[in-house]
Amino acid sequence: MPRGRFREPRGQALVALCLLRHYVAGQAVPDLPTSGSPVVSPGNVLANVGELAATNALEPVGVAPGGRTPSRSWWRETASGVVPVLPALVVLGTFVYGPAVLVVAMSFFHWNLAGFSQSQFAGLSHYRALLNPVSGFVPSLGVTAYYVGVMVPATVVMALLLAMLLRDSTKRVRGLSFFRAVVFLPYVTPSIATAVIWVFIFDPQFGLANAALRLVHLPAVGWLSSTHWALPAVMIDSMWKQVGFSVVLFLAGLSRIPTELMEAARLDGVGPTAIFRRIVLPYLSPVTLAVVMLTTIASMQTFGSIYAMTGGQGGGGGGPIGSTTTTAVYLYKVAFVDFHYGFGATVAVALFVLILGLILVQRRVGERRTFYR
Amino acid sequence: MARLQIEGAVKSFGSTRAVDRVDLDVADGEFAVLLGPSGCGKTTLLRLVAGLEQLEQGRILLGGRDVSQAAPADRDVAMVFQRYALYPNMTVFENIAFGLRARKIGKSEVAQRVERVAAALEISQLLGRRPGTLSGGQRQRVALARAISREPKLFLMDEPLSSLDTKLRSTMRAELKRLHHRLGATVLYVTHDQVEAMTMGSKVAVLRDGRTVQVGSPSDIYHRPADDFVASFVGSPPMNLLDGTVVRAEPGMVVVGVGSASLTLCGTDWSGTASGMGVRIGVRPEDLRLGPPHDSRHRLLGDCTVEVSEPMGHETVLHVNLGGDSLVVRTSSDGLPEYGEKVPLAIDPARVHLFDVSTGVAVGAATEGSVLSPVGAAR
Ligand SMILES: Nc1ncnc2c1ncn2[C@@H]1O[C@H](COP(=O)(O)OP(=O)(O)O)[C@@H](O)[C@H]1O
Ligand SMILES: [Mg+2]
Repeated sequence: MPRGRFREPRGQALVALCLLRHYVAGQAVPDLPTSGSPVVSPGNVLANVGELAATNALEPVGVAPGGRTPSRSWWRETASGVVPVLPALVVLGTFVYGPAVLVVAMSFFHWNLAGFSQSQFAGLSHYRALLNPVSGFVPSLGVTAYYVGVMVPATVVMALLLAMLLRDSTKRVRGLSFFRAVVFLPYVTPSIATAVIWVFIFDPQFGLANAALRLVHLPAVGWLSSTHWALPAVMIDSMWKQVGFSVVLFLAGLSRIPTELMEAARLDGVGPTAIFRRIVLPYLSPVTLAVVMLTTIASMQTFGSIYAMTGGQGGGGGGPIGSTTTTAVYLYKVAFVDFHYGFGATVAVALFVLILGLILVQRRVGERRTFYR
Repeated sequence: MARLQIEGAVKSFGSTRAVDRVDLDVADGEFAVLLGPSGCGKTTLLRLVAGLEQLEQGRILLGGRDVSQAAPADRDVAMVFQRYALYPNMTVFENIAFGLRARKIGKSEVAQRVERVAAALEISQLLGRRPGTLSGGQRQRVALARAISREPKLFLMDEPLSSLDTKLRSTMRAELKRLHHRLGATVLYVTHDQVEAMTMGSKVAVLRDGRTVQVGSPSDIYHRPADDFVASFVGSPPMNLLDGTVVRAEPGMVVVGVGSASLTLCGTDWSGTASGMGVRIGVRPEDLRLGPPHDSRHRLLGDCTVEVSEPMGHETVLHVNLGGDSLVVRTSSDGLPEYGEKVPLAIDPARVHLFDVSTGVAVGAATEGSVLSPVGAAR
């Protein structure tokens, strides 16, 4: 079995490194101007996540065997594992892990573009500044919490709903694959392009959104220029754009449920609600956990669409009175509008730690409720 | 419990007719078996009865009521699926109780029924476990328990023993039979295994390409196969089929030439035969004998060469060659000829079947008094 090698601890560690990269970078990588990393294609991410969901690779990864005398065969085996991933490792090391380490180092300096020798050591002062209410970091956490807190449950519900509508057994629907493509297409469209469309839709005078509100006799809304509605508007864009990805995951999960189970239940007189609750949902629990974690990471890092939709006001993004300044947007403002590279790096580290912590908690809580076959 | 009537059932998938005008009547409390090779439409027919597939033509009656349009839940049938279809995230108890609760049965009644069925199938100690931790045989019992607990009008079983090993299969065969006697349930049981069909069914329907070829008791199917397909499908090792020609056909008697010999066969009805007609002569392995005939029943067919010998312990199956034709002979295990040895082969003419070579349909079976004569003797 060609995959066998990657079941071994060393191979797994390498695979885990690659996966970790996707966790840390998410698909926001191409959006973030801070990162000089190669563009991650959606197909690439999809393949990895598919693998992730399929093999339950979320299990703790083993460590390389220690304490044994390296023998010839040990070296040969290690080499046969390392050599194939070496090119990827070099590229990733140069453009992802290297910069990541650099960012951590930068966070301890009043960073000067000329390099470390010209930069003044700042110690923990940036980290203390994070907690200073004047810095804007703490408010950005609030905005982020709001954004992520809505996006994650909404994505799970919406994606599940769409997946149920677009699942294989819905044979009555003609052009099923057409609708699937329609749902997935926004995900592979550049966020700047889609943001332009949504800015149009949310135009207070001529936009579709307000036209729709008028149609049902609701008062028009200022949308992107309103402190209340700017973030919800962005959420609608993000949801529309990203839900297709989770739909694909749920579809894969649904196709793994044996139809016989549902038939057995139907024969026994079990209603559709009970079938959904007791059979479909348990089967989808690993996928749901994956969707929750991936959406969390993606939402925490969303920058492109927020910046494109609400970036014009207030000099460099963040919506009216900072109402859409999530931590990712705040990071951009600090580093590339105000040119505080060192503090920007600190915000980046803080965001990373936050995401990591959140994911670990989700995994702990989720795994206990997850039913793996 | 109820009587099941299938009338002119038709079901196609695209251009393939999976079930083609099938009629079947299963009496109340009867154990009926659908027997046929893989892909002949057994599962489809079962699913039609369950309501998991929609009939194209014909109708299905259960206890005299037309259920053709009824939803699966309203038919009051229980099905044991080929791969058990147990809910992997539920315990054994919940697996059994799930369908009962859906039927609005009270909590204590559900618990009682589960306990009772579990006790009957000796799975009481497994109630707290998940299907993933059970062996194939145990899962099988759970699937059965789930069906039985429902107390349905009709049981549908789709090759329930096919994924068990040989030993377990024969145990479960007997157990299912016992269970059937105790419950007095109406059962429609699907299998491709003729041993299961013969041993379990009181009625066997042989299916081929979506059609019923023959419906009858196991003994009917075995002793009076309707055509050469049934003849060769039922029985292990299968019936020998030799090509021959009708030499003479008279009321109550027919003379058939086969190889260098000719058979004079007596029977009640040979109306399907005519002089010069091509026929297949069917004879079961146990109706052939090695060695010179030393009783009045057997007649010499010719000398054959032993090619393969398969000792089974209580008997031996020999593959022999008779003038170019391969034949299978079932003999007792003592005094066996060697490989390549030439031995006389005798036949019991009273047990010979004749099939029309072009249609395969049986044109009659011989009865007592059939005679084999050397070539030319009967002319
Ligand atoms: N859902 C289906 N779609 C298309 N063809 C099917 C379907 N189910 C069964 N068939 C076809 O119908 C025929 C009978 O199948 P089945 O009833 O499963 O046979 P059996 O159970 O006797 O092996 C086969 O040719 C099979 O390919
Ligand atoms: Mg089948």
